[in-house]
Amino acid sequence: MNPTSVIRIKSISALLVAMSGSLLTTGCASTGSPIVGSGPVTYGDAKAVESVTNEFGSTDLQTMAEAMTRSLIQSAVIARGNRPLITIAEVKNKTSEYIDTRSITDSIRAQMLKSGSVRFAVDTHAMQNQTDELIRQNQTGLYKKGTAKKIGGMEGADYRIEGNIASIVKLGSSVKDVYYKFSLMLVNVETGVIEWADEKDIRKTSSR
Amino acid sequence: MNLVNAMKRVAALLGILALPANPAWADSIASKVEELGKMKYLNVSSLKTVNRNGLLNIQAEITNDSASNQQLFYRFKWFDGNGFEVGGEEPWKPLTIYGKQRQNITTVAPMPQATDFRLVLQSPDNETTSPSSW
Amino acid sequence: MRSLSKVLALGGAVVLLTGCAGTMRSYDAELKQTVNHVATGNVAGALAELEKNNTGGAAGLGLGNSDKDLLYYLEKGELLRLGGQYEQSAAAWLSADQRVKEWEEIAKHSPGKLLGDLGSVIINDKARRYDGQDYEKVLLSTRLALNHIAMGKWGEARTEIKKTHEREAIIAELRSKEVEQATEEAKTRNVHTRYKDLQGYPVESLDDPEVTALKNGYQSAFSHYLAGFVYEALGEPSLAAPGYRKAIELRPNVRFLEEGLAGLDKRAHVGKRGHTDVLFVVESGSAPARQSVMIPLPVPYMAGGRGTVGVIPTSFPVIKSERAFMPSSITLDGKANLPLAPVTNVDAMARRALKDEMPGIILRTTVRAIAKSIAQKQAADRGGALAGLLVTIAAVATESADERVWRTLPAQISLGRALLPSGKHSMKLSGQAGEQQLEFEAQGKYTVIPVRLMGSHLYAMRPQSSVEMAAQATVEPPAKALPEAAAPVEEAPKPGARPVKSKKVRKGAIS
Repeated sequence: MNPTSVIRIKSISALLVAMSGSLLTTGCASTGSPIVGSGPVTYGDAKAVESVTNEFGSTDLQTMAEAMTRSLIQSAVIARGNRPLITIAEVKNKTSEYIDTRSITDSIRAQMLKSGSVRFAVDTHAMQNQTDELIRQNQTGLYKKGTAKKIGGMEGADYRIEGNIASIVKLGSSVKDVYYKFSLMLVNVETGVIEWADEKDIRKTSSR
Repeated sequence: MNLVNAMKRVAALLGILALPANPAWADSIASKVEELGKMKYLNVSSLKTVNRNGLLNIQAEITNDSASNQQLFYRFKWFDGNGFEVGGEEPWKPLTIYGKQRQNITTVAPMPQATDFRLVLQSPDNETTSPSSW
Repeated sequence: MRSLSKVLALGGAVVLLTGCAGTMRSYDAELKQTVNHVATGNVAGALAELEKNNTGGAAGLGLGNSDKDLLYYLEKGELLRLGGQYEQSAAAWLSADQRVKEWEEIAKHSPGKLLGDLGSVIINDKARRYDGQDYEKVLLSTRLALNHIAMGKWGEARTEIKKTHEREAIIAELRSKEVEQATEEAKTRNVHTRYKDLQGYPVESLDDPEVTALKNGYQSAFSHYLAGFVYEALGEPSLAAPGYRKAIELRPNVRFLEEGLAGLDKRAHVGKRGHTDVLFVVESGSAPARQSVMIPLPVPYMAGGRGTVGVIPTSFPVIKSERAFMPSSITLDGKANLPLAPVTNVDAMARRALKDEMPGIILRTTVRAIAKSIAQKQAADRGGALAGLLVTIAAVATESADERVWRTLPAQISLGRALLPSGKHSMKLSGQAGEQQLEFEAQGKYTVIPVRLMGSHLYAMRPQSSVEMAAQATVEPPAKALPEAAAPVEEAPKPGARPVKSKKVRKGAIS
C-alpha cells in the first residue's frame, strides 16, 4: 500500500464519518428511522435537569422523591427488615403554586415498593375503588362463592407518611428566587410516634 | 471481575485520565466514575463505600481546583451482582461547587440488591479528547 | 385644473395610506343589538343577530376573510350557554380555544411576532387580528370548565382548570416582555404622552381604585376559587389549597375567599353523607363595551428641516361600563339567607387591561398620526387649503379605535357556598325586575349552580345530566333526601363561621 492510497482511505473514512454525523443530526428518513412526520418535535431525556422556568418542575419532583425515598429506606423501622405496611396520607401544599403533591408521593411509593422493603395499603384517595370492588364482589351475586374476596379482610397500615411542601418566593428587580422545602414524616399509626422525618430543600434562582 | 475489566476498557475508550490526589485511589475511583468527557476544573478526590443495614452507602468528594464556581451534573447507576442495572434511571442532579471547595456527594443504594455502582459526572466545561483511535 | 387633479391624487394616496376604511365595522354597534336581545331573554334572537353579522365574507373583523374569528366563537359559546345548550356551547368555545392556542404557540416560541406587530403603525388597530384580551383568554377556559361541570364531566373541567394556570403563565411572561419593549420603543421614538395627558379622555375610568387595586388585568379570583373547588371535589386538597390561596391573593380581605382556604381541611375530612356542597355562581350584566373617542393629539414632526407641532385628530378606545345590578344575597328554600360575595369584577378587569394597554396604543397612534400629519402638511403646502382639509377629513374618517371585546361575558361575578341536604331546593333572587324564584337540584357531593342576571331576565343554568355525574368515582350518586331535608339549611362547613348580621338574616342562616 503506497502512501497516497492510505491517505485516500483515510479521507474516505473521514467522509463517511462526516456523512453519518450529518445523518444523525438531520434524522434523514432515508436511513429508515422509525419516525413518522417531520415536525419540530424531539424526544428528550426524561431525567434531564429542567431549567426552563423557575416554577416547580420535573427535576424538583424527581429529586425530592428520590432524596426522600433514599432517606426513608434507611430509617430504623424500615431497615429492620420486617416489611411494614405503610399508607400515604396527604402531603399538604402550602405554596401558592399548583403543585400536584400526589405525583410526588406516587413517585416515592413506586420507588419504595421497588426497594422491596415495605408494603403499601391503599390510601384514602383509592379507597373508593377498593370498597366499590369489594361491594361488587360480595353484593351483586355475580361472583363464584369461593372467589369473592371477603369483606373485613383489609389490613390496617402500621405507619403513615404525611408532610407538606412550602415555598418562599422573593422578587428582586432583576432576580427571582424560589426556595422549596419538602418535609415528610413517618408516623406510627398505633402510637402516634413520629418514627422518621426528613426535609429536602431546593433553591432556584432566575434572572429576568 | 470481568465487569471491572470491561469497565476499565470503557473508561479507557472514553479517555478518562483520572488524576486523583492520592494515587492509591486511582484505580478504584477511575473504575467507579464515568465522566462525560474530561472535567476541566473538577475531580473526584475520594470515594468511600460502606454497607449499612444491607444498603450500599457512598460518599464521593468532589474538588474544585479553580477559583470560580463550577456547575456539576451527576447521577448514580446501580448494578446488581450480575452486572444488571437495577432501580431504574436516576434523575440528573445539578450541584454548584464554589471555587476551591470540596463538596461531598452522599447517597444510598435504592435497594439491597444494588451491590455495585457508577458515578456519572458531567460538567458544562468538560473537555473531550479527540478520538485518536479512529 | 392641475391643482384639482393633485388633490384627487393626494386623496387617493391618503386612502391607500389609511387602509381599507370602508370595510371597518363598528363592533360596539353590532353587539349592542345582541346584548339587548339577551337582556330581554331572547337568546335565539341574539344568536340570529350574531350569525347575521358574521355571514360569509365578513370583512373588516380581523383578517377580512370568511373565516369566523375568535370573537364570534366567544360570543356564540356564551349565548349557547345562556340557552342551556352546553354541548354546542362547549364546541363553540373549543373552536375559540383552538385560536387562543395558536396565539399561545406564537407567544411561547416567537413572542417577537406579537410584540413587533407594526401593521397597525400604518393602519388602524382594528385591522390587527383579534387575539382576544388577556382576561378573555383566561376566562374562556374557566367558562369551559363551568360547561364541563354542568355536563357532569369533572375530569374535563380539571383539564380546563389546569389550562387556565398554564395560560396565565404564558400571558405573564409575554406581557413582561411587552412592557420592556414598549418602554424602549417609546424612548427611541420620542413619545412621552401618557393617557393622563390626553385632553378629554375619561381618565377616571382607568384610575378607579377598583382598577388600580387589581394585580393585573387577567387573573381573576373567580377562576382560582373555581379551580380550588374543582380540585376539592376531585379529592385533591393539595391542589385545591393553592387555588383558594391565589383567590385570596388576588382579592384580599374577602371573608368568603378566606373561608374557602381555612375550611378546606375540615371539609376534606368530614364529608357529610347525603349532603351536597353547593357553589352558587351568580353573574350579572355584560362586560363593558369599548368605544372610540376622538382626541386631538399634539404631534411633533419635522417639516422643512424644522421641528413643528401639529394637532391631529386621533381616536382612542374608552371603556363604557354599564351599571349591572348585583344581588347581595339569595334566599334558599324560602328561609335561609345566603350572602353573596362579589369576587370578580370583569368590568374592572377590562378597564385594567385597557390601562395596561394604553402606552402601546398611544405609541402606535402617535406614530400613525405623525405619518398622517406629514401627508396633511404636504397636501397643504402643495394643494392649498382645500387639499389640507380633504386630508384632514380622510384622517378623521379612517380613525376609530379598536372596539372589539367579548361583550356577552358577565360584568360581575359573585359566589356563595352552602352545604345543603342533597335533593331538590329552591332559591330566590331579587333582580331588577323583582324577586325571581327557581328550582335546582343538589346532586352528588359537590355541585355548581350558575345563575346569570341580564337586564330583567334571569337565566338559570341547571346541571344537565345526573347520569354521568354518578359515574364519577369521586362524586357520590345523589343520595335520598334526608327526612330533615325540610329543616333549615345546615350549618356552613366553614370553621368559625357565624351568621352575618344583616336585615334579612334569620335563625339557621348560613354565612
